[in-house]
Amino acid sequence: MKHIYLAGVFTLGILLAGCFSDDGISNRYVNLQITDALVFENDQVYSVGDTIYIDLNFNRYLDEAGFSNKLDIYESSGSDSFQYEISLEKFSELSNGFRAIVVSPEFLFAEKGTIDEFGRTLAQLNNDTSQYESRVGLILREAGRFNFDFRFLYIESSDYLEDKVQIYIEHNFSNSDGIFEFTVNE
Amino acid sequence: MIKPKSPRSSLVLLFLFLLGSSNCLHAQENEDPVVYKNQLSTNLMLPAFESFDLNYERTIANKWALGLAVAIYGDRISELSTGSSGDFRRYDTNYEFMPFVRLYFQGAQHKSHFLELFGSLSRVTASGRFVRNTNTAGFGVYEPGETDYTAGGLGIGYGYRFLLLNKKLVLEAQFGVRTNFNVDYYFLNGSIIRTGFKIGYRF
Repeated sequence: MKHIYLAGVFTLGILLAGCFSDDGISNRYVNLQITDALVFENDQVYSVGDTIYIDLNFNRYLDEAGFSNKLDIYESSGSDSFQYEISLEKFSELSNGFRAIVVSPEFLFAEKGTIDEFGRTLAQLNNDTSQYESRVGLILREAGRFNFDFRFLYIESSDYLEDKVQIYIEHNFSNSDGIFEFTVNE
Repeated sequence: MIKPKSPRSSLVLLFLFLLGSSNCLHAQENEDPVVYKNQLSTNLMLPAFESFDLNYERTIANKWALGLAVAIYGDRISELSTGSSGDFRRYDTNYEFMPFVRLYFQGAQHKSHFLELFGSLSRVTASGRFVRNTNTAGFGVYEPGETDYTAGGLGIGYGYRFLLLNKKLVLEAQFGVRTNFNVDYYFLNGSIIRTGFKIGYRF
């Protein structure tokens, strides 16, 4: 019976050894982090009719945890644009809090990069293929208290190619919590 | 004119022949007190898949035996697996170690049905997985490539062992399936690498 017990322990050990191996789990997805790539010059008080701008610029070559050299995200993903979403919220007296609102396409435009049919913002690789750039303008058509919530901003490669990886970039701010509140007056 | 038989019907005939041969020798076996505790065997089916295995088995009790199998696989071994390998991604098992324990229902010194449990430690080459290379400009780039990894698994088998030529010659028919616990959608992948007919020698 002792032999059976030892065989069982050995077999279980082999099984567990496999758990620690780099096995067939997909490694198609690459996660990176960038800091302070998004810039919103918040004047905090605006008037109806004003236009505010959000800039997102990041280098084609980014640091990757665990590696000494930078990663070429264009060559790795094959994607000449990276997409992200702008989350705009308006304060509601009724709910006593900020609630997400959808901006009509006529009040949103891109000076750099593009905005697709689903309202997603795309940072485009510039002409000298050195960095991805996006500059989005928002026309303030109504009064109220608003904020941009960029606490969970993820930027992802927008092209899916079978022989390329998908890249997800988590964006963080070094001196901000990612919430930019402002007021629009009549 | 004799029509050629299919491989399946040939295997059935071989199984029946072994069963009959074993029964003819049954009386002789009962009179023979010789006890062999060691056994070497190989699966005759694996060469058809460009592969080869060698099994060593040691009888440790009246009905129990422990063993270790080593297998070297060729490209066609993937045909015995349910795991999908698309045009872009492919998994090739190169070699495998399989410790096993067997329970012989009629005793380890007689022809017998047996149940087998085995572990598996295999070396797999995954093609089409992404590897991080450095391009000529010195930047990292993910590209499809090959990576080797070790996979653990478990398996179970059932079969019948015939003992011939004064119990020195072993012929086995076995069905054995192993899984590395990877799944396609919701289905656990399995590989029938311990299935087939084995021939062996006891000493």
